[in-house]
Amino acid sequence: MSKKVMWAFATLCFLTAYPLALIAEAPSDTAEVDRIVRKLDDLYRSQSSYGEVEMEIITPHWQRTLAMKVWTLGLEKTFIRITSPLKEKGVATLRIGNEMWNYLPKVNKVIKIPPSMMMSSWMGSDFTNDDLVKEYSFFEDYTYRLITPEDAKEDLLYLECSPKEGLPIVWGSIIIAVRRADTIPVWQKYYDEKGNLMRIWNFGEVRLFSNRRVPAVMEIIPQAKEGNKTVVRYLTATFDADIEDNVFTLRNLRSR
Amino acid sequence: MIFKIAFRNVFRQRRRTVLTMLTMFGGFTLASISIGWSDGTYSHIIDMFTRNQLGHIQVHSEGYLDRPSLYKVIKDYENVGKNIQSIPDVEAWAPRLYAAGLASVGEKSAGIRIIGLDPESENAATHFDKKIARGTVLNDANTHEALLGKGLARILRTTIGGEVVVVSQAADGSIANDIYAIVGIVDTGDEYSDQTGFYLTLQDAQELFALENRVHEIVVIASNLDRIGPLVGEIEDAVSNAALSVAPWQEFAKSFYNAMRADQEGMWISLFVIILIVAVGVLNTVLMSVLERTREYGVLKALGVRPKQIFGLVLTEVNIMATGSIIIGAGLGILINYLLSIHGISYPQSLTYGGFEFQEMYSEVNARSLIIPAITVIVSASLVATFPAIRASRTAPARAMRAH
Amino acid sequence: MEVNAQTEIIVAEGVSKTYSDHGVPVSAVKEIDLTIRTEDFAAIVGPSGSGKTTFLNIISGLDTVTEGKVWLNGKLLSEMSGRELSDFRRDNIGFIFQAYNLIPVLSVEENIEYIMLLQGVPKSERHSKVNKILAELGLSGFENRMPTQLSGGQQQRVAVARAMVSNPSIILADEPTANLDSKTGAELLDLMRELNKTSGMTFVFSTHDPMVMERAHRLVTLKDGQVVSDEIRE
Ligand SMILES: Nc1ncnc2c1ncn2[C@@H]1O[C@H](COP(=O)(O)OP(=O)(O)OP(=O)(O)O)[C@@H](O)[C@H]1O
Ligand SMILES: [Mg+2]
Repeated sequence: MSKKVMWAFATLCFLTAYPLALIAEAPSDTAEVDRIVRKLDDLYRSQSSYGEVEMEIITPHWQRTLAMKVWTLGLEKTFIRITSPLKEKGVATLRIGNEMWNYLPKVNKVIKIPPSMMMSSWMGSDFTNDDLVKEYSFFEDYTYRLITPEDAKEDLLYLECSPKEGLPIVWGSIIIAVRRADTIPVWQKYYDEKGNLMRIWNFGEVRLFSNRRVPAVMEIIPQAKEGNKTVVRYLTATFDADIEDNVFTLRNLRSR
Repeated sequence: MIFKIAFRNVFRQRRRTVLTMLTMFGGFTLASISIGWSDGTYSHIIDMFTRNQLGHIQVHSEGYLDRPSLYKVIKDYENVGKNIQSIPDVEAWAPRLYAAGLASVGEKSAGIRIIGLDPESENAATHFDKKIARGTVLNDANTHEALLGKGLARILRTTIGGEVVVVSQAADGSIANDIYAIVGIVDTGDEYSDQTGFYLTLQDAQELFALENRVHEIVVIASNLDRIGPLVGEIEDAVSNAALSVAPWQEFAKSFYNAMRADQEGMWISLFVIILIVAVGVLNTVLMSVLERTREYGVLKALGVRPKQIFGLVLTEVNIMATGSIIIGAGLGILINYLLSIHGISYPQSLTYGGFEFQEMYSEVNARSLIIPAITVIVSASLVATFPAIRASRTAPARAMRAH
Repeated sequence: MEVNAQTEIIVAEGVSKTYSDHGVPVSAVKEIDLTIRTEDFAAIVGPSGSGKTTFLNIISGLDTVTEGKVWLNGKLLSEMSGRELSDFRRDNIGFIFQAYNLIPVLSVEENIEYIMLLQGVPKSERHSKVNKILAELGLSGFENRMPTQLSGGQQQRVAVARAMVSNPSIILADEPTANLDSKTGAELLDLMRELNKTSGMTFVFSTHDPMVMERAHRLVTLKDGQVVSDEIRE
């Protein structure tokens, strides 16, 4: 229930758990903070989802845009198939729990991603394979508190989240900025244990998909690689769609 | 005349002379062999290390050595190679493309290092064909054939006849993926690199990574190890318009080079041993003969020979013996080093150095192995003889002549 | 003291020498004042142990004084450097020692020409001088013998030849005839006397030999390290 599919893809996957409440004042009691965090966790969650996504990858050496279709079922299963450009058309990824497979139509082979490759990039983007697999909940896996940074803006609330002890989370802390009005995230900043900024996720273009208001655009800027950026944009998204379980099979992975 | 007296003195006391010369000769020969051996061993290791894999000189795009990247390429590599080949003393050159990727066979997957190479020039430069433990060499065309490192084949549980799917990312950002037939297994002698080594023809690799007409590295083999230094400059001139950096093996295999240099300091220990042997032998005999011939020095001084000339006389005697010992020792040293350079000595247990296994080691005949011990013997003998020589030069004639 | 360097080739003034024999002082010469003049043909006589050898050694700079001063050719010996002294000996003094003291590794000819070699005399000149003196001393044909292949007398003659061959201004001879038969000794003394007369070479001998005393023109007698008489005879 409280697990979370990787943010980038998860964008497709949630349910509107709460109506869009306007919160005019900074929440003072913990119950209120808990509510914001739970809402963050559930922002992109749903029993099932289907979406069409555009992923723009920018590096100092090249720039390209992948179009793909994404299916999710529960929190365990994800299926992605690339539809363009031509060279990658038909390439697909299946995730079930912690395991991942890629299908390569050119050689008609399914390749299981070994644990050693989990930190490698997914299809050349700034997402790692690990990002697709790992599911954490801010509510359950992190301790959090409201903070007021020096350059705080009037219309934003800031949350500092630190992973609980003993969890294999690589981040030292994450700072999340949400809109005071509707608690929709604006950005998340990931820091390592030494407090160095590692990557920034920006959210934008809040749109209504299946009655749910979510940011339709997510931008990842890794700090270690200068000039790199990945932008994910939801073109369509249907939450709680009627999706067959047989989508998430190796057999379907193979069918072009 | 001093020389004549010295020379005859050396012959007068035959037994003592023979003894002294034996110690000098022994020290010299020992040092000569140990230097020849050490140099031979290191030439062999350097050869193994450079000639068989790394090359004597490497050319890269600027900054590649510090931070290798798929994008730091040598453009139009064939022209660059041709320019290099036209330099005299360049024996061979070979282009290489390097990339990381994922290989999988059935359920097994492993991270690999893809090495695209031109089979023909690689064979000429680094005898790549000799490292193929089983199977055949790669064809020159893009045949979708691959060679696997020994360890990698084991990890993937595959062998010749199998198929490997490779996935990576091409230089244009697209997904690089293809399937290759395994035609051979490579054993470079370096276990670590054999666990990741995946060899394709340059054409296949360029196609896979969308790097047509580009490579990451050009290795150059010099006709002679001693020519590497000047060759670096000449190659730099030849490729000056291409923003490339040219490095000798001492630079790109720095840790190996430093470790080797540290090891070579062992030579100084053997030199120290000769100094000791020679010093003890010379001090003993020279001191004895000086004491015995006090009267003679007294006469010489009475006749008007200057103290300095007497000092010179003693040193000349020592140096005559040293020179004689060195000449004989050089003969024996050359002979033994020569024999060891042909036949070598095999280790009871094979030795691993820099990831390579060595079964046999060879000596080397070179000028160093003669000059360094010669200087050592002469300098140490002369230094040690200084004290007796000063004594002789200070002989008080009256007293000396009274002592019958 | 004023020294006339022209005529007074060696001047000793208040020369004393004390050796230490296992801590016991032994006075070898005591307060000797003596001047050797050019063209002297002098004999120093005295019983064994009277200090003859010691005195000769001192006046040639081979030994040092305990007290007193020695001038060689007008120069104070104690002020000369080792090198100056060496060169002075090489160029001005010929030595004949009590024991022959030839250089054992050199042949007769080489022993004789040695000093000339140090002086840089050309080879042909050396050769003719060596031949001449060998003939005079009856040693012709022995040029290539080694000292060990000679009798005592022959060795002594070679030593004399070596001392005289470079024409030094003074010859100091410690018992030159001690090992010679009387005939050879007489011949040698006559030869020296001849050289003394013709070229003005100065000779100082120490001796027990009456034959030498007879021929000497000046007789200095030592006893217990002191000069007891100094007589000039014509
Ligand atoms: N190095 C020495 N140490 C101690 N005593 C010495 C030394 N040299 C000489 N003497 C002593 O000095 C004295 C003089 O010796 P010197 O040899 O001058 O005598 P000499 O007149 O030449 O005797 P001879 O006629 O026997 O040759 C002797 O008593 C001798 O023992
Ligand atoms: Mg005497």
